[in-house]
Amino acid sequence: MTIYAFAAALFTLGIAGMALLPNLLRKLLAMNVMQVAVIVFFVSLAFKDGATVPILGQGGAPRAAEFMNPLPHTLMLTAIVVSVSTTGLALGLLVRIRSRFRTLNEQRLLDRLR
Amino acid sequence: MGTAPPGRPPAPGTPRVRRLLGAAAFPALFVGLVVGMTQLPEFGDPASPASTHLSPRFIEDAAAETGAANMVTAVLADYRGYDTLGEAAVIFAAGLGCLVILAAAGARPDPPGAGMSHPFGSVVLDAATRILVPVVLLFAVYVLIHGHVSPGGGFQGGVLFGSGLIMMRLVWGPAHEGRAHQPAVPAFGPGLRGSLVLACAGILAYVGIGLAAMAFGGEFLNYGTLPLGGDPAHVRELATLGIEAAVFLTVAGTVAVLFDTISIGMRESGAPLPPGDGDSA
Repeated sequence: MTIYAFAAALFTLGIAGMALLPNLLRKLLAMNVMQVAVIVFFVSLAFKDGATVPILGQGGAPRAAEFMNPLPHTLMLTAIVVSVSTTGLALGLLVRIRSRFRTLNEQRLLDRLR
Repeated sequence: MGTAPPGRPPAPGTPRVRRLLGAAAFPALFVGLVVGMTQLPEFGDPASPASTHLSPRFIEDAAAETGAANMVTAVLADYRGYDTLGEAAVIFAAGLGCLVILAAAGARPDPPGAGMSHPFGSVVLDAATRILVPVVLLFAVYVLIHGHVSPGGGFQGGVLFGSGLIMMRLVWGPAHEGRAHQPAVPAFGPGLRGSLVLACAGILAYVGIGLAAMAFGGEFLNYGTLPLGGDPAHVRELATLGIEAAVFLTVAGTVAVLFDTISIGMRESGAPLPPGDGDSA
């Protein structure tokens, strides 16, 4: 339960940062915090009491109760790398915005767009 | 916080009141999330729906069916191979997008090498990088091919390999020019174009494995029918390694392309911004 509340707090922080921070780069970092919250939540769903990591060791046929759920780990593994590359794409957009409008401040940007 | 410059028509309500109202929405969101989470199964509950649907099948049959002791690898490259193809395509598309936004928009078809505009280039950094980079690159390949039996695989290994490429760019500067400050540094590693070729080769290899499976009578990416010899589990093990290697190439190439294009874009975007305009505020 605590970990769910932790994920909720991170998620709220991320959303609040995206909405309230004035700088586009900070908004992007806040979006990354929000993504981390989703990843923490997803991976915590994979946890099972008394189970170990989903890698087969020595021994007989595996039983489902002995290993944690591999599916959320798989999904989040790819989600982390996807978030890295989408962050890179967003940074590319920021570089273009910076060189064209000479600002990353949201309000000044909106004023210059008029 | 951004204050409106003079001359801008005032928005309804004072900014302070509107900002307070907006900020009050987020505690409400947090409370709503926590209240919703009380309905979730207890943390670590083995009988939760996530642990009783589908996952027992993966845990109990993956090793026998795919030959991979690491169930995450089995799920990633075999059971959910279609999904992973999509993820790899998203990563590749992000790299292409960055290239189009920055490098292509610079109207220079062949940018003069990618990398930092001012490489660090001290003796200590140079020596440390010469020792570290081979270790990092080798460890990346180890993480890739050990993904069957330990944590690892194409995504992790690819990011490691990409970080090794980035380390060289950071310290030694552009990949194919500007070595005058350090003529002893051997030219190594792909530049922007080479990284792009790596990423393309990775995504093509992934699709190629899927199509080869069709050519030998299976469905797309259902590669158990490939004539690689041995029992079906062994064939799947080999093909899984092929998939992971394709993901490895895609991710490593894309990470380097992202770094190169952003550094080119930063170099062309000019001087730092005045305070308050974004570089610091």
